[in-house]
Amino acid sequence: MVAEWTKCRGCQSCQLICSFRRARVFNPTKAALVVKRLGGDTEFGVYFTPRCDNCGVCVRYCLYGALSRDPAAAGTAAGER
Amino acid sequence: MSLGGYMGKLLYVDLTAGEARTEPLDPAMARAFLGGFGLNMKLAYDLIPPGVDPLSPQNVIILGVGPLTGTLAPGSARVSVTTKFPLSNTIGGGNGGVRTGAQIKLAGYDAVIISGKAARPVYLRIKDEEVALRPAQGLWGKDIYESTEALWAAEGDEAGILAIGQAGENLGKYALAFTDKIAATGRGGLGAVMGAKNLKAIVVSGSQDVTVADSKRFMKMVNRYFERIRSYALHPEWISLGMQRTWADTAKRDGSVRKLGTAMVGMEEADRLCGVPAYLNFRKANFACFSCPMADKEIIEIKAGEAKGLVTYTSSFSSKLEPFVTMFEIHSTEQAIRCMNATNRYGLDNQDLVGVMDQVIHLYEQGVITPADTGGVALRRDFDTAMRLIEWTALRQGLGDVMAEGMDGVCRRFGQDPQRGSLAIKGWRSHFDPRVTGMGTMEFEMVVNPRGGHHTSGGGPAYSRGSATEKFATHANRMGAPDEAVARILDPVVGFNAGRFTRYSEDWYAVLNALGMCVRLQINRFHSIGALAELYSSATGLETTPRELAAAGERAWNVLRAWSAREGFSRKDDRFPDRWFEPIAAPAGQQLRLHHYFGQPLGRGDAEQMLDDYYDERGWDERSGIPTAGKLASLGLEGVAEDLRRRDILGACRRELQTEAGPPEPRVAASP
Repeated sequence: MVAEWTKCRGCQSCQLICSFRRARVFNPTKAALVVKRLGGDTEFGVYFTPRCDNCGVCVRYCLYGALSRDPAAAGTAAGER
Repeated sequence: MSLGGYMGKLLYVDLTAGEARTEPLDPAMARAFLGGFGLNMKLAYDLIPPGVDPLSPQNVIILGVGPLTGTLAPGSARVSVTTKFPLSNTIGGGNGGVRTGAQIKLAGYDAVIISGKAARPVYLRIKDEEVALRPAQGLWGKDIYESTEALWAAEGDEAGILAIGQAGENLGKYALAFTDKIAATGRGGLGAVMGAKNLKAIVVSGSQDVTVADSKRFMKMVNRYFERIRSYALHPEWISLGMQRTWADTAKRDGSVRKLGTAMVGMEEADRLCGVPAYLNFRKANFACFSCPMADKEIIEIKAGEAKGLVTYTSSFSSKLEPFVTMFEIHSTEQAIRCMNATNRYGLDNQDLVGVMDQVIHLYEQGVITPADTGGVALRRDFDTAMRLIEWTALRQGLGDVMAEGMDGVCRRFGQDPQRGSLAIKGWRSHFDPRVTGMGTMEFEMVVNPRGGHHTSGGGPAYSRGSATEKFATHANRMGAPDEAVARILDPVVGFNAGRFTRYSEDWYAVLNALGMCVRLQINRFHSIGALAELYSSATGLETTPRELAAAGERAWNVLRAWSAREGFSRKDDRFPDRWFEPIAAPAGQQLRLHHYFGQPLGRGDAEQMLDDYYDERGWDERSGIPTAGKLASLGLEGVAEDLRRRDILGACRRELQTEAGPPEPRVAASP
């Protein structure tokens, strides 16, 4: 997975759909990605954990176009750009 | 009983005893009041004793989240905050977004109820089941930005934080709390109530699961929302401009002038200072509340000049700057931003503050306030005076000690009649002047809102002048107004009856805030009572029809009104300010008079008729503006009716208790 940090608005919808797909619950702490405030302020970094299986469901629920699947990394954990 | 959507627990915190306990959420109460705003009204009715001093330990702060808060339903980030507000001695639903609402839910609670008073400054830390009061002496005296940043550093930056600044510590009657550094929460003095309790902040985070009863059905509705938002042609523009997108509509509505308080400026100048190019020039970035598809929270940065590097936050750039531009003749966007920044940091409500500042300068110009009252400082309409008055008010220095008491407080101190001397309604500054904007739904809502002169629960298409009549019908249907009510709203004489419409607008607001959904127009437009009923039913497993959902909103609003009646409020307080009936001069020599949304002039008789229509549509007693026993019973609120009857408040309505009580559904446990 690839995240464009400059497009992320911090809504955490990606984490909600990720936890929902994995465990049928809404719980950001159970998602395979983390949306983190940068420098204590309100700009965001998006990090994928090793649990991410590159399924791409988060892409469909990001209304800001910040996420995309990385074809080269299909099926593997991926980092941010 | 375990319901989807709800966490099933209420957290009670007693600051005096330093103790916390939980109680299970009563499923019947959840069904009747939904959550958030609705549940807050019921809890406030039961827990805030009549006549209590808002700044005493007996006052209660209720933070309620909705059954949809914390889910993927778009815009479900909201937390409703209810307390008895010191500015007006009323209650209502303050509202905040960003992350705090979702974090309360993730910590495992449907509501947090705080009472008592801590012996020394503390902040309340909630982390799942762990609840602690931690010392806040190091934060006392710090502003909201400093406090929030320090707490994120100490407690983790995933936490939601509701914090106060110096204005709240000093018990300023229109001091706010801010949610996550940006969302102004609790107009009317939530900040002062927290300050009086020695409660600097609430810091909450959690890792519990939010579940829904029927996930397939729930996600089907969520997906429909996402598809509609994705295909909405104006979505990119909303993301790009936030609330600034409404600037052009506002300009169209207000014509050639912008008017606030006693001052006006030409639209060209207002546009230069607060319009879209100015916004884009100073905007650093925008960001979203939890689950929000519109990202209308703004980071504003001054990039050059004396205040280079200043970063501040808002969710409504132009409306926060405009008062400084119009009332204080500050012809610099940068200086207006500096005023907004100071207001935010101290934790003052922008709307009431500018009203009071305008009022004291007006009285100074008239010679009522003299240099003896100001320590010899001349009060002028300029940047330096504005900054000085903000600081005085927040710190209660000199004249600021009176200013912190609000517009009515200033009137009392300087021998002015509040009705003549201010544009306040129930002590709150009215944000819109219908002589300029026309009497639409938001303007009328300021008159009848039990909380004070506040407009957000009166939202409707009338906000944008020029909307076609059909839009009102569509919007009313969407909110769940029955067909016969829509026919009454589309009044054949004046074209649109704002009084009748406002009832449904308030109930709609109550439903959205009870569920935990955002009411802002750019997201509100995707909702309908049917879609919300489907979301609620699938999330909770409580099968609920659109009619029942709308009734829950009405039930909550009736409890709010009944609470106000118990405190002595009635029709006499739903009063149009006298000054609205006087013409006002615009810069180009025009005389602006009170007029209907469609342009017809309005006199006092018309205003009273609007009130009659509103109470009639509500099913309330027209003479008193108080819910009738029959209306309360039809909503399953016999306990409330009995409480009012026992206090001899129902008066003329008493007979109806025997004759009109229809079959209530659902029934609510008698209270108190």
